[in-house]
Amino acid sequence: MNRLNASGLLQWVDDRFPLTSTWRYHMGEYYVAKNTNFWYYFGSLSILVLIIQIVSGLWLTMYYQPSAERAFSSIEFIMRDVDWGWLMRYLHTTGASAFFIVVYLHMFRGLLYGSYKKPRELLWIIGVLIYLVMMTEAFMGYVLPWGQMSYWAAQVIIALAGVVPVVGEELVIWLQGGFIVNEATLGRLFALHVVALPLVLIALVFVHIVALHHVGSTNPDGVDIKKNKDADGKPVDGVPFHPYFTVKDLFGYGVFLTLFVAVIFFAPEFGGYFIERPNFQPADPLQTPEAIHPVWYFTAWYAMLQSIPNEALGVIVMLAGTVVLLFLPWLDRTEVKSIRYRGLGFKIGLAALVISFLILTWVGMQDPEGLPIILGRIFTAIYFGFFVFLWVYTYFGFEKTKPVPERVTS
Amino acid sequence: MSMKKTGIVLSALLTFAFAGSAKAEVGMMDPNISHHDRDSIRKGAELFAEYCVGCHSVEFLRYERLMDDVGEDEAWIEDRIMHGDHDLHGHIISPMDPEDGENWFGLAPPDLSLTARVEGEDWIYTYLNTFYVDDEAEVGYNNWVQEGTSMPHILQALQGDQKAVKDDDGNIVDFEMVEGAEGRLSQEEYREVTAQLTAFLSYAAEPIRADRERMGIWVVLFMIVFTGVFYLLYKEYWRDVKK
Repeated sequence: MNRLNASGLLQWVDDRFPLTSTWRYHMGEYYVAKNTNFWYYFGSLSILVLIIQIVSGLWLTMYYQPSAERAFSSIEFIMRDVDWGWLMRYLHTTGASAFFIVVYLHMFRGLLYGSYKKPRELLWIIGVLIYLVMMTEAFMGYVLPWGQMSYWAAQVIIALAGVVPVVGEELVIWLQGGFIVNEATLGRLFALHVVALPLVLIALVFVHIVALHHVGSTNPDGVDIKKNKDADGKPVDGVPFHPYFTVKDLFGYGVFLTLFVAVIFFAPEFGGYFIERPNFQPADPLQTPEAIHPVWYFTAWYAMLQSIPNEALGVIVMLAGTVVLLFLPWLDRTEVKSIRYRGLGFKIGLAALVISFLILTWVGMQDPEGLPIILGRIFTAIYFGFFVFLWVYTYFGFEKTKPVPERVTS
Repeated sequence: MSMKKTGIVLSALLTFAFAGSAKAEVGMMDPNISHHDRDSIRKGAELFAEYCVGCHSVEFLRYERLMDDVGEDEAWIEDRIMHGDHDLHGHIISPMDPEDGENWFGLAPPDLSLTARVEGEDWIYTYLNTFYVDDEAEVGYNNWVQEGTSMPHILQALQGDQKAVKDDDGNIVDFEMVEGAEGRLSQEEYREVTAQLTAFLSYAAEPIRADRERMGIWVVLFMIVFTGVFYLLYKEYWRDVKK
């Protein structure tokens, strides 16, 4: 380092660390199609929510006490006696629901525009794994306040391991660290929630972005923008991520945060959907609540579980609901990516999938009797039916696609 | 609040849809209170200290916090709320031993810190208004909201005795005062008193709520302005991008 100025310092670092080249590869010269629309905001929004969860979670961890006796009251201590503790807690509880909202919309974007298709199969699979880890993380976090619903949700969910043949019963006791959900269970869920799973989550998100920037972002036309380059070798239909998408996503962050703070300051319980009423009652192992429902973001899967009369089969179906997503890149054989140029069958199928997911979400909140059970069965069948239909529809060439343009449209 | 009301209306509609005419006349009552009304909360706290704290704690609420939030001084809290030797910074704990409570009532009187968040304001208010004389009940009174309640009608001196009016199927359709057993307060006054108690318990369940909403307006406004700036920035940068 012979010159003490900024460019000299940068050169010094670049000789020792790939700073400039990394910046260019991921930001300054990472080209994204200029026609991305509303649905493309939710990827970067999920990074924002992840950061909110990590930061607010860090503060909660400073005061939360993972013991059966103190857990519930330590949450109330945070809500009442810690300066801005209530804000940290509502950021975290609202953030949990917001995380699922943005991730569900992000996944829907993937379905709309074929983001799971070659060469993005691995990118999609990593995404599904992130979703699985996120669900585990959310479940464990939900148990920590040690309210009635926390406790009994833990009891119900961990008991599902009991369907494993032969060792099921032993497995449940091993997972719980006792014959019922107890303080040992709370301790291990706390450790997993604040250390192990966030590490896995961050690692997977990192790999997700690495894979994305290797294959490039999709666009609503499903056109490969790298096919049309100008004299400098830059995609004519693309613009660099920075500054174009940094400012665009910043605007998206603004809209999201406006809605987010509105919920935090005016409706943090969100009518009992984000924080459920029974969870303001301390856990009581001797008193089963009248009804046990998971939080809204799990109820679609829970509906599948409840709709199947056989418990073991129900657990398999519930897990299959997510696992089937891993195979989507190979179930859908059509090369056309975007819904804009796909056949009517795909459009109807996707609509049916979304409707069944929404109805199952509602069903999972109801008591498992009468109409909800019937609807649960019908729409579980439709949910899985989509994947069967998609394979038949595309494998046997029933789909009539429209020609995909050479260049992106507006 | 509006969302909660919508929820209540929806669940009420569902209840009607499934239960037919049952409980058609008696329903959950709206206390019509505001968590920004410090005066009601203060009066509710005074009533609570007079009638409730003998059995019920509010274990998560500190005397000092209450004093600050309703804008009162130490003289008020010592005079009207503490009744005896308590630490100003301490929590509102009932002098009753929970074991005694269990022996006397069959069930220890529950802590009321979070009742408003578990059951809702309407529940508390309706509960306080629907005690009725029932010879079969152990404590002499029953309750429409919580049938077979083990709590005696502690506000009986204020409200007086009311009896349930039942239809042919035995469903309660209305309440009427027992003649000659009127309380110290008129029905209207009693409702006001119970609404104030509800306001206090609602406050106790989340003391920050009023402040949170007050500052929330500014936070949301700030975000809207900020988002506007972001939008202009976005449009400015994208102006030269050809469609």
